Amino acid sequence: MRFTLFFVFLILFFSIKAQETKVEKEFAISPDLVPANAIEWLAKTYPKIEKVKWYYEESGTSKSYEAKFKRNRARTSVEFGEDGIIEDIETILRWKSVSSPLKETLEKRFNAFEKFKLRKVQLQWSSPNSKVLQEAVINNDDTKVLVRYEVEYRAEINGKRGYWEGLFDHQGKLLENRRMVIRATDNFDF
Amino acid sequence: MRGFIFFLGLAWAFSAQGQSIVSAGLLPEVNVSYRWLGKWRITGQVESMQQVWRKNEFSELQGDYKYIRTDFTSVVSYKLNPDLTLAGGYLLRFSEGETIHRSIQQISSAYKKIGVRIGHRLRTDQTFEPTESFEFRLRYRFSAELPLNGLSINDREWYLIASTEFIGSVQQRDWDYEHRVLGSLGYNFNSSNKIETGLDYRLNRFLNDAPRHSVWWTISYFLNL
Repeated sequence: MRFTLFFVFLILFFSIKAQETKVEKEFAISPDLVPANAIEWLAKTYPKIEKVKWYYEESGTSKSYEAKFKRNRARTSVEFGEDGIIEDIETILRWKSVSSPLKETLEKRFNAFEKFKLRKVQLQWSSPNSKVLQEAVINNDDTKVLVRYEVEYRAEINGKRGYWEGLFDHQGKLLENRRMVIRATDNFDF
Repeated sequence: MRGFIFFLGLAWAFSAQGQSIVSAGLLPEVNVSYRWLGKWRITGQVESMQQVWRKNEFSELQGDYKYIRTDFTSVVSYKLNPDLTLAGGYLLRFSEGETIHRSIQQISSAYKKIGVRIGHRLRTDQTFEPTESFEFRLRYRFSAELPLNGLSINDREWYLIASTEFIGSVQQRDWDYEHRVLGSLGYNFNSSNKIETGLDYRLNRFLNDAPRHSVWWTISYFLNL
């Protein structure tokens, strides 16, 4: 009985505490909750895709809808703003499929990091014009869209070990680099 | 309530097996961790095992409350990299008037795949009891954690965690094997607090003796300072 009361107290205490914390959330949603223009854009751009999972993301003040599916065996995610306007398309790439000059530039940059290990590479296409992005996908032609690479990797940078997410342009120039938050592993260790 | 009925059903299912011994009860646990310099962590754990039902070799499962033990464990861990942790610690067990000592060494990893987090833990421990001879164990545990909403576990979200553990032991040239399977429902309050509750099934002593089944209803709270 004392244990039950103790755990009920813990749950209540930390529920109240959690409500005061600023949170980042991503959760699965039904397509019915997605703006119609986003559904329509996706159906026109990827007419053969049948199995799409929708997610809603909140990050600070930014809110977006994300469609995830597999296309030609590659995991693809298409992100839309809260108004249903397309923001970008990301496709997971195999490292060996990254083009040679870019791969060499990125490898040189990665070699400068200590204890580097590659985790994931995503090709990112974006354009301020949704029609242009749609045509790029349909024609598989990236000449009119902004091409970037989002790379997740493990490294020690300035004495900080962790996972990082770097955004590189098509020439391999690092545009942004941020440390990823990793959840505690105490329930795996003990 | 449904979980409680399932728990009793599971205990009854094992009790229906002729000459086996079955114990069922509660296993609450609190873990508190403190990290410093990014790579080091110290963890204190308190776990208490209380038997509520028991079935002996030729009897039926019946209510039989018995306080079994309380363990106090402290472990110091060092992150070799974000995925790999090396740890060593000490457990002090108070059971039936005896104090039991156990030293622990382990290496564990946890890494994220798309939509699931996978964990491996390899542990050795050495137990020193006043009335029994030294026991050495080698353990391997595989765990998987699955968010119930979306592809990652965020604040104020539910998740499932399941694990299976293989434990080989030797005590005075007597070898034994224990198998554990754990399934829990977890709730992540925020990055510092989470709670898990579920069933921990254990099967042991079946190499040399009547098999011993035990089912524990676990409630585990994790706090990261």
